[in-house]
Amino acid sequence: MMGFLELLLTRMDYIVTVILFCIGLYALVVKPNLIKKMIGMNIVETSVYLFLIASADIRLGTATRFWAHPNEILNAQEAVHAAAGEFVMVNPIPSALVLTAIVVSVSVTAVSLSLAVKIYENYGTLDTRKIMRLQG
Amino acid sequence: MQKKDFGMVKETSQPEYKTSLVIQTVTRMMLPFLLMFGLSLIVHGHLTPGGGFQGGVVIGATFILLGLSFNKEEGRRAAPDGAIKVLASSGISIYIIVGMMGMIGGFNFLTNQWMRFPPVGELGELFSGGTLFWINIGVGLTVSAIAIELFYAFLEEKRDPAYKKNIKVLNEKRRWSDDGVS
Amino acid sequence: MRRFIPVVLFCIFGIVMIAAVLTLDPVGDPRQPSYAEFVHPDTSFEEIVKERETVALHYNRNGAYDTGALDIITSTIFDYRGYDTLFEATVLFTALISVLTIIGVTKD
Repeated sequence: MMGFLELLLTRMDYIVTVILFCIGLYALVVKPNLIKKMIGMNIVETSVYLFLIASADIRLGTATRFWAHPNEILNAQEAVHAAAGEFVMVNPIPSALVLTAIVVSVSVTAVSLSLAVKIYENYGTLDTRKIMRLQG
Repeated sequence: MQKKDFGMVKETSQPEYKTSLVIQTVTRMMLPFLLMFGLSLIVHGHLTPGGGFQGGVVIGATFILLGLSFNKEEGRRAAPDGAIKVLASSGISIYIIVGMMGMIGGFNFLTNQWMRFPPVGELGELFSGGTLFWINIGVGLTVSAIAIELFYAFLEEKRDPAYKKNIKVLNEKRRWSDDGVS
Repeated sequence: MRRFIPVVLFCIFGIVMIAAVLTLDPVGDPRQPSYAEFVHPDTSFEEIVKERETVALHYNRNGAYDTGALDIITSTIFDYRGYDTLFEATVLFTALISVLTIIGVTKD
């Protein structure tokens, strides 16, 4: 029981990723309004950013060239590292992936918003159940 | 009812839309600080967290704030149409030209070796990154121009003038089924 | 009653994905494959940080000397992976052109 709880607590970032993904996927699939579908797609993409950034973290790692605060040291092995002045830096590659993904998300949102404006001008409604009944 | 003219907003194509005096005054006071903050994020891209994309979005949001708190005409005067499109294209052109400069000496495309080895500038100074400084400026120009242009494109679209005449004919010609299956 | 079928299906989907996520390494462990690419279970923190030569550790150690930038993320996206950033800016520019084409902004 305590082993399972520890298993959950150490991977909390990934579990929040899955919860956000399911919420966004529900909004994308079930809601009939076009704008609500776009908001759901944004939530799905946000969960993927969280997953990528959480996989780049190293315990006691920093983004610059300085060692961690003395309150965060857990055992004697890391105290030796802190006394010697060494440092560990986090992984920079997922941050580059997330920057590209943010730009792609902005582009998709802009183009789909312009398509929604044109659909509203032409059909008078934004409800997909009503637009699907069109024949020919 | 008397209309007080404070001399800031002129009567334009949208006479009913006026934000309050507090928003206009605070925006006018905060504009130079916001622009300097964005420029600092772009130019110090290789020293502090930030860079081209982040600073470009801040500068674009500043011009959008100007367009939202005043009229659209005032915002369009601060960011004219032709100049923004030229800026968006020139940002990417700076990136490609800086990448091609290394090919003159025989190096690869997008190399840092013609400005970095021999090292120009010490670690931590402003002109120390080699080509990183110029690429940051190029990307910042592009991203800010794209943010401004996307905002004004949605405001300035013109509906087809034949739409109102044809809408009745179009609605009679369309066939809608009764159930949800097409 | 028909409205609750998608909710139940997404809950089952979420539980299956959480069970899949729990098989990964803990958050912040230096043995995860994105930091140290292949790890024997007996290696320690010290050996991974000091002696391995993976891509992330190479960028961390040699980034300041190779590029001259203090920020490792800027040196990653503009020097080591500058080609990807060029095409990412092109994608942003293409989105602007498509929005202007669909909306139909005229000159008057």
